[in-house]
Amino acid sequence: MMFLLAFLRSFTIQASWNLHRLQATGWSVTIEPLLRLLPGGKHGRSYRDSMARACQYFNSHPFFANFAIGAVARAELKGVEPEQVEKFRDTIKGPLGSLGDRLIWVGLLPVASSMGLLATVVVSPFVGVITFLVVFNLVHVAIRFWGLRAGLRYGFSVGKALHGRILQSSIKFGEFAAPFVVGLATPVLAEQLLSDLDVGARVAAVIVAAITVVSLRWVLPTVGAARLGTVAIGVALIIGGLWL
Amino acid sequence: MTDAALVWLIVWGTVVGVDLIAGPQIMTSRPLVAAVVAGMIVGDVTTGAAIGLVLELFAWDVMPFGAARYPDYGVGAVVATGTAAFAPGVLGIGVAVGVGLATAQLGEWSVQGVRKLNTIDFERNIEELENGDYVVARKLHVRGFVREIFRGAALVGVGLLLGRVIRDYVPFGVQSAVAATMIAAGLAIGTGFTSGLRAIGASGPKQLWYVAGLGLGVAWVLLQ
Repeated sequence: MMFLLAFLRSFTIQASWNLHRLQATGWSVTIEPLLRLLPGGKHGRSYRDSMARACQYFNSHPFFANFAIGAVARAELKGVEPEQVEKFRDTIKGPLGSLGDRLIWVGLLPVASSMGLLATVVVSPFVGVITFLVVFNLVHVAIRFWGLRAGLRYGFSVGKALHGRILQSSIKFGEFAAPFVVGLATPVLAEQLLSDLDVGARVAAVIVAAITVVSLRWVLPTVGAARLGTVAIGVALIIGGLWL
Repeated sequence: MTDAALVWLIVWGTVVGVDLIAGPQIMTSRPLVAAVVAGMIVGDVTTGAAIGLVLELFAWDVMPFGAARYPDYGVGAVVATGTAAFAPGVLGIGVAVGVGLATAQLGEWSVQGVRKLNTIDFERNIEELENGDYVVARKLHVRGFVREIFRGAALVGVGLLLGRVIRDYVPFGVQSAVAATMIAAGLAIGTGFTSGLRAIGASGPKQLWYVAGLGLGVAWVLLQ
């Protein structure tokens, strides 16, 4: 029951993200149900001490933080020295962040997004949305669940789970699957976007696309697509308005 | 758009805004999902899908590493779909994408605002937190979540208002609308291509996989 509560709370780990200790509050709220199992329960001295440690600085990949939460909960329940708990927490956040970034943001998200877009174009928008959500969340929810379980099972040796064959193969697979699917989707989506325009507008759109690539890649790499797009469309409308 | 559709659009936009960071991060905050569902709400799924396609390519530009700041494209997609709904053909899409991008940008700033408020709240309660007071931690967490709900609702409201003002009061003709759509499509394609180039980096095998995918995609288009 406490495991389930901690698992569900982990979905909101970033809800109170702050500039002082980043995910600290979310971490403490997530780990709290597991700490209720300490001697004396919610009113015991060790519960309060563990909660105080739980509010210290932490930031990692939100889906992978559960590995650390489970491991720290196990250590607290086993009465490991507080210094060791804090040292572990401090050491594990970097590797977990790196693993999460590689597997989720570099691998899974582009793959799910591209598959969703392709399904939207080829089948229907509804199928596209379902494809995206199912592909992404099968992995997302599994990682949160497995992370908390592995942390509770292995404690400070949770690295064993992180070095496991399935996770490492998945990261490698994602690193190559993502470029392939993104490459596959780009021309298909481009064709779809241009299909409603007449020939002149298509040529102009391709020129805009080329200018965008040069701008975002080399000339204005820190500006970001949203700002560039807002300015470009805004300028087009203003010029169009003045013209009329 | 009916009043009921407007209310549902604001509710959906709020859900999308909260999903971006606060949770559960199941990716309803992605433009494709946000726009298609918004299209269902306003009864124009085709427009929703078209906007979702454009803004999803824009969202490829984002790599949410660590404490990175990035636009709220999901709420932008909801606002853009609400703005474009019922405009004939492609006419509404370019203007709506512009409004959606501006909303997404506002969303980035609003996230920073919420984080600053969370920080002030945290610092005010730091003594109790250091003493292991869980009730204070829980209240802090809930207040953070509530701030995100308000942020999402306010953002979608401001965005829809901006769209309404631009649609009703800014004088632009058919040619301007077509030009805006053409620019939006070009920007989306360019952003998608740039994101692909960035993803493959200098890695030889990744480049090969990308080129293989690109080749297959081009063949697919030619065979259609």
